Amino acid sequence: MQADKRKLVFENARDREVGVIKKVLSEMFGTECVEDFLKNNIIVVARNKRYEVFLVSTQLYEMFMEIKNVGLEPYSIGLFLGRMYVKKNRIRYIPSLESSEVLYNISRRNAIMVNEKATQLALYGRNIFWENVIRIFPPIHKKYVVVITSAHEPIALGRIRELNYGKKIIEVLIDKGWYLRKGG
Amino acid sequence: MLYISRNYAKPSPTAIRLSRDFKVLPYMAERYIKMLGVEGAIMLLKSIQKPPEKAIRCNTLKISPEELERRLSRKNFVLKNIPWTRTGYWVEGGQYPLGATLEYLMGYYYVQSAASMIPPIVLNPSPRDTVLDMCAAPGGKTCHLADLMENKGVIVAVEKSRDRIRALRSNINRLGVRNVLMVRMDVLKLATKFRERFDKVLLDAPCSGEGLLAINHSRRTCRSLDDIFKMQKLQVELLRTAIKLVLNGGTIVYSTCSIAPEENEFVVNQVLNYGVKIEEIHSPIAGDPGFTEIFGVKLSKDLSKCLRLYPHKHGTLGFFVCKLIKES
Repeated sequence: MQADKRKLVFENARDREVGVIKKVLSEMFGTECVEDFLKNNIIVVARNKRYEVFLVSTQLYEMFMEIKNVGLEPYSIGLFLGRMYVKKNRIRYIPSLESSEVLYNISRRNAIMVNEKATQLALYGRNIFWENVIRIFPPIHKKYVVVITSAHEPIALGRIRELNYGKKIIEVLIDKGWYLRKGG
Repeated sequence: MLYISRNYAKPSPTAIRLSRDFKVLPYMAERYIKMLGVEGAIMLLKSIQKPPEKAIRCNTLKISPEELERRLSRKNFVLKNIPWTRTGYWVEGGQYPLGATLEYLMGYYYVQSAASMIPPIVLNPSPRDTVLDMCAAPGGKTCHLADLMENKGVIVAVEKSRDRIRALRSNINRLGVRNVLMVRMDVLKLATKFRERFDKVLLDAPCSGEGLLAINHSRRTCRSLDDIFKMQKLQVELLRTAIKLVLNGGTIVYSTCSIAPEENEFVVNQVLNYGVKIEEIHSPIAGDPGFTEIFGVKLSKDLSKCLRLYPHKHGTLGFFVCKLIKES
């Protein structure tokens, strides 16, 4: 019998998926920090309706297995690690702001500190002009960079883009203002 | 099922006068007179004319109460500590709405009524516990439980509504909670899957909202006595389910944001022969005891161990909390 493609199913992440997640996060925050972060935890994937990944403690994982064994599926579990998608037969991973926040607080790298004006803009999901950048914490990842306030608070995940006329901006991909706009 | 004649709510001339003066339904005024006396009913109805003070709970998973106080004071908020919790504050002033500050978006606090901080404190979960939150959305109490458990142990948060579970997930993510497993289902069906599995169960039951009259003006005229009894039926079913799901010796906290005895003492009274006993609540807040006799019905004497909060007496929304222990 064919499985219902629309039904959300949670299961352990496959090696290929774990590899992609580790690669992206290590590039962003360093291998040692990411290994430490993932240690003693299990990566669980939601498939079909949503393609999302979660980091689950061993104690929570035991409950997850019990829930699965009685024929139920979770809606969400543990720490939301991010979203995945498939493009040209390759698995891609977009980290969540929640996991980036935890990893930035440990590693203190791959971040751009912005001034108060840019903080307000970022919280509305608006892009940030380079002149509002006050400090850079290298190395910077080519795709995902953490935008932080002057108090080292991660407020957004962005991407550095160069405009046609040579100017640089930070394109905001996910920001904390989402909780207000859509979170409920 | 507790069958009582509905005649007890038939309004007297005084009740009709109060209902006209304070714009509530006559049956409500009549019940308040029976619960609190004429003077008490007038004070209650006067107190619901203005909303209670706004309150927040500091999320210690992300920030210390001292640091939050310092940051919000800089934004001209005036914080006053809520006596029954180290992390709760009544808040006044401020330049922005409480739900639109950077501190809110960072998950440093949760906007929550002062009374609704009591059930998780009464449940008192430890970091080793497996806790069930039966009607979890929008997640204020779930996140409070996670805070008390230091983000360890396990919380299973169940919510039936598709829309409300989104809010639950959003709040859990915002507050950095990591020990929650969310399930979208009718929690009544959970007892067909599990038996005696959870150390502690929180049942903040859906209710008619008779404690929210100060903030929900439409509630003063939109619910009939029949609606309250419909809710009672559901609440009894939910509480029986909670009893099936908790371990022997485990704790259940039953709470509602309603002052209606029909949704509180009458509900608890109906499950007392299901192997549970009521335990005294050692809360720093001096609430009123639960009713042991009301509307001409004699109830268990142990119901006096429950906690009742009224806007006119305690400065909170109307609230009810009961702690039950499952006997082995």
